[in-house]
Amino acid sequence: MKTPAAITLGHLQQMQPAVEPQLTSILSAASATILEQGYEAATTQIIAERAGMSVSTLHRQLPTKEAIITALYAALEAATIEAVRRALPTWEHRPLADCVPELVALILRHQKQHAPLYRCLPKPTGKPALIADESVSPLTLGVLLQAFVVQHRESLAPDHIAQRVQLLEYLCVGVVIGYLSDPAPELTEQQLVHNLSDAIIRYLDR
Amino acid sequence: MEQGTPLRNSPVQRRAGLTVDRILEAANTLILKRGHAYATTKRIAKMAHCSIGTVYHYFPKKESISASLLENLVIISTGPVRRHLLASMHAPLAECLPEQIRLVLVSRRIILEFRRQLHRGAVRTDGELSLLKPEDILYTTNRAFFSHHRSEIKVDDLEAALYTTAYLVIGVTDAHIAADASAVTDEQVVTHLSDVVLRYLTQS
Repeated sequence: MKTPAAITLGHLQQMQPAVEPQLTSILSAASATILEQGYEAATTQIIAERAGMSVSTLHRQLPTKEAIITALYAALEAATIEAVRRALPTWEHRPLADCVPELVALILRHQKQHAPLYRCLPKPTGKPALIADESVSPLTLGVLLQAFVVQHRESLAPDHIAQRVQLLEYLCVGVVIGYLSDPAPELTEQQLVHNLSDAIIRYLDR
Repeated sequence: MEQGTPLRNSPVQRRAGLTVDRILEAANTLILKRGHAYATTKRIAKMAHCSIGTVYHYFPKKESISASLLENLVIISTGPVRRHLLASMHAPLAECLPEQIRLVLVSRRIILEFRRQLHRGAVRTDGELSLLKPEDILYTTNRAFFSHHRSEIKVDDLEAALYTTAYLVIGVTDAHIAADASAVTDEQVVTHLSDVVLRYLTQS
């Protein structure tokens, strides 16, 4: 299995060769423009100019602004996926009650770096990312969370495993993103990690 | 936003009230059928049979119209959620949670679909839209619901339990709605999320 590229906004410039360099500069230009000028002002013309390419070159890579946003979400997710992949071995043979808070805190920490961008972006539209095949990693967060569940199978409720893995993904990522997009959150980060972990542990525990 | 409400002038006559309704209805039709970018004030005015000046008389800018539409949508779509909360004040959590979550899922889907239509036109509206936190509109009713179930809820801090539950329910339903390929059906999300919330609230 190919190692996915670690992509964070700060590192978009020095990204691994697995992702096409043109795509890298488009996404880097798009995130910088959206952060500085807002979503509306970030037209494909401005993004192309900033990335140092013509609009038609940009459109060959990513035909619409929606496609750019979808690719941007995929790139942001890749950083979280890589972090979880690295941490996975450290959760082997350890109780669920210790591992879940670490998993939730890790995802929160990585998603938080992108919180300002999330607040500027519309929610993903649910269409698959239009990225060149080369750069798409077969590794998804779902696959990693499945591995996490398998690691702890002895302490878990044995029924509906596939559904539980999906719920675990919604809880880890959906709830964290929802919390981060709240301009005035009602809980501290510590409280969120603590309470969310409690909920996940009780749900998974047999 | 300079005013607390997107309406620049409140209609003083019944006839004026109808004009506002016509403008909102025209904007809604145009946005849902052709997207936000297509719904220009000129086209909205034409469809509502009034002048562009009249549109601007009520709404200082186009984004105020979308904000007003969204506000209306939030009120309409959360109505069933609120009614069910009120009807379940004395029902055990295990009994009323699934239906409660099913209604939230329906409501979030309507709201997110409208937001998606707004963003298709690549118009940034969050400045105004963030003033309307759909999850906040039911705060008082939710709080009463939690107080009525105090004996069942084992979490010490009721306020924290309320906010955590809100983040759990909205976060999971939104993620499910946005997912392009999900391993779970709507009914399964309702069942499992009810289980998550029930265990979180009632296990000590």
